[in-house]
Amino acid sequence: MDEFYYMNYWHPQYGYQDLNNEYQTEIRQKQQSNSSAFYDPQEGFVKGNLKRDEYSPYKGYVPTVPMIYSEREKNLLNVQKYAFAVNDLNLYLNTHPSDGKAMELFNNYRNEYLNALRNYENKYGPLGIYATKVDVYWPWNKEPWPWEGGK
Amino acid sequence: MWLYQKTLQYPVNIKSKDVKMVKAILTQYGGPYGELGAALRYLNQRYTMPDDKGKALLTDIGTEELGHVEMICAMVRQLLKGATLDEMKKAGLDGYYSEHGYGLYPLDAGEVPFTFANIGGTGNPVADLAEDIAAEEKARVTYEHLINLTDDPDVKAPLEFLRQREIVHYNRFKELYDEYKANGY
Repeated sequence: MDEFYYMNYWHPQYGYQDLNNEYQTEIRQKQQSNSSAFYDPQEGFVKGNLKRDEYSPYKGYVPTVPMIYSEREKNLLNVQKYAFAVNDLNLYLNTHPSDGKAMELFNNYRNEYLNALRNYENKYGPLGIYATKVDVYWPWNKEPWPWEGGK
Repeated sequence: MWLYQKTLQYPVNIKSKDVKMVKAILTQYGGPYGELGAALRYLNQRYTMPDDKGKALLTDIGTEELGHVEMICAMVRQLLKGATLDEMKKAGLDGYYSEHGYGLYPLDAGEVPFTFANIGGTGNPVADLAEDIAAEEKARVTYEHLINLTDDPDVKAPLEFLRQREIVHYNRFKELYDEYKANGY
């Protein structure tokens, strides 16, 4: 799937733009089909919370999906999105420990997170020290550092 | 213990420097309602939470706040990147520059260095949670003021995200507070 993306949308001149259009459309479609008490991970991530009735934007702010500038960032955003879903459900389950729906979502998103993380680390190198495997070079002290931005 | 993950909780990709905004945002690093204070407040108070629920919640929110410290620092770093001395002077950061150069340093909006002196820890779960609830509200309002101070969508997006996290943390703390209060702590 990722190879397909790469070949069709990674154009030196138009690649970024098309990648983002495709991504935004995918997200809009997902948002329209969801009506549970929780946002899906993508919508929750851009809004800053998963529980639908907790969202309270400031002065009618309409959140946008963060721009991605490379295939790597697209993969990283996937990791961040599921990490966020797991984190927000973690907090929610701490005070609602018998919410079955939240537990089910937690398990699903935890699996998605682990898949996204494995996918990213296989392609671009370790995000955590326990995923760091030393071969011919030491892959940990290597950019990108998270605070330096995408461009 | 803590493990480091080489990613921000939410992306920060600021393309235009804005030294005046640095002066304002720094308070969410080192100010009284800032993220560093929040992280230390919860991680310090968790030891006397009376049950597993409280110990888990303060540990987890305190940990997330450490991630917010990193997001704020990323914003400061990117807003400051490439600033000239003249721009630093115009933004009133010549004093900052003299001590810290282009490095990061936790200060409030009045350039008072970070202090734990105005952060509470009473050993009483209801009193501590009441402070935590108030702290989340004060941080939310600070984010609203910061959002009012910028037109850059690259700066607004992470500020909006962080503001919404304050609301979620407020809700979780309030749920725990109500439960402890009802249980007579």
